[in-house]
Amino acid sequence: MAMADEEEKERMRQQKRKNWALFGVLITFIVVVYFVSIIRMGGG
Amino acid sequence: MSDASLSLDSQVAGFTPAASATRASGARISDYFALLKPRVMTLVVFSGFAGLYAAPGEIHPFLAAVAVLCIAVNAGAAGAINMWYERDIDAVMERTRGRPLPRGKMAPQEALAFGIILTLLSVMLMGIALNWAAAGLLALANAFYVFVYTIWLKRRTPQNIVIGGAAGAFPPMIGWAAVTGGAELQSIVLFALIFVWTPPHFWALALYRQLDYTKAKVPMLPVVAGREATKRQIVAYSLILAPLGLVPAFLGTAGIVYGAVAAVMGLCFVLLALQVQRETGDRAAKRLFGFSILYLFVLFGLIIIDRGAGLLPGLLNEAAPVFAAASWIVG
Repeated sequence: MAMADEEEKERMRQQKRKNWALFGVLITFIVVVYFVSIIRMGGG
Repeated sequence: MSDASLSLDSQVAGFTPAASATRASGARISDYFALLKPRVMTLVVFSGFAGLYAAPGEIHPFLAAVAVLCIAVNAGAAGAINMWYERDIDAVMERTRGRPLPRGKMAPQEALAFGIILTLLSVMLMGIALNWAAAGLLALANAFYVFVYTIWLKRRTPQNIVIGGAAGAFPPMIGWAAVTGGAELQSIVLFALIFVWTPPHFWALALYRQLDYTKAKVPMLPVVAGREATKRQIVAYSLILAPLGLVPAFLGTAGIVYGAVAAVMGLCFVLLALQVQRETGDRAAKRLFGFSILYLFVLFGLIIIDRGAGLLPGLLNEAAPVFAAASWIVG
């Protein structure tokens, strides 16, 4: 029982890490698109 | 999805139950990174960058970096979809059984979703940031790798990597198109160079991994036609590759240093191929496989260096005021 709890906790921890990673990727994507837009509007 | 998984699961004996997991079982970020086939990505990025750098014209350095990022992510995405589809044979082959899906690190549909999302993001970003010709080529390379090579050819014909190799040959064309907005003879030659290089490269690998391919029932040339026929084909392709490697020098994509090195390395390629034909063991095949990677890295590296040398006077000219100011401060 305790083992199952521990496994569930570990799974939750990994899910949390994945969510943060996904958040980071999305923010990076937004920043990249922002800079691309600025450069394209400037005629680059 | 589950039906497809089941039909795939039953295709190859020895497929571990872990690979058919339908629930995420604790994949780490490193497992997602492994899905992108980072080693393959290195060559793709390098050749894509060479195409981008060798192309006539100028683009903003940030946009160039975005183009290279898109090429890398798209190649990785195609690799993830490939791993999703091939998880049954990956579990059987020694070389691939450590991949995240055969180890049951994640559910197959997670890998598929990951691949599809990255494909869409990279193609869209390439279109928005650079141009839609480059984005179209990027999408075509991805579709070619997934549908033509992975799904259609790989398990059906020993010519799988001859035709399917086109997918890996697209990156320099994509890089070129990112700058020019289209395809020209020079970029098509860079495509042809990788296209002709692919069969001897993979057949050399298949010669010493023959058992793996036999177990997985992948009809690679040595499995279907035998070792001798494969060796003859390796020599034939290397004889086409050696002169083809010189063409960028004649077209002005690269300079004389490139031409000289390409001639020497092309000759070495042919000699190693002949050695593979003569020897009965696997040593020569391993050597040719290693050399083929070096060959492509050196040739595309020289294309980059040659172009860099051509740009150097202009860069020095632009940097002249900075040097003048620095010398005034120092002196």
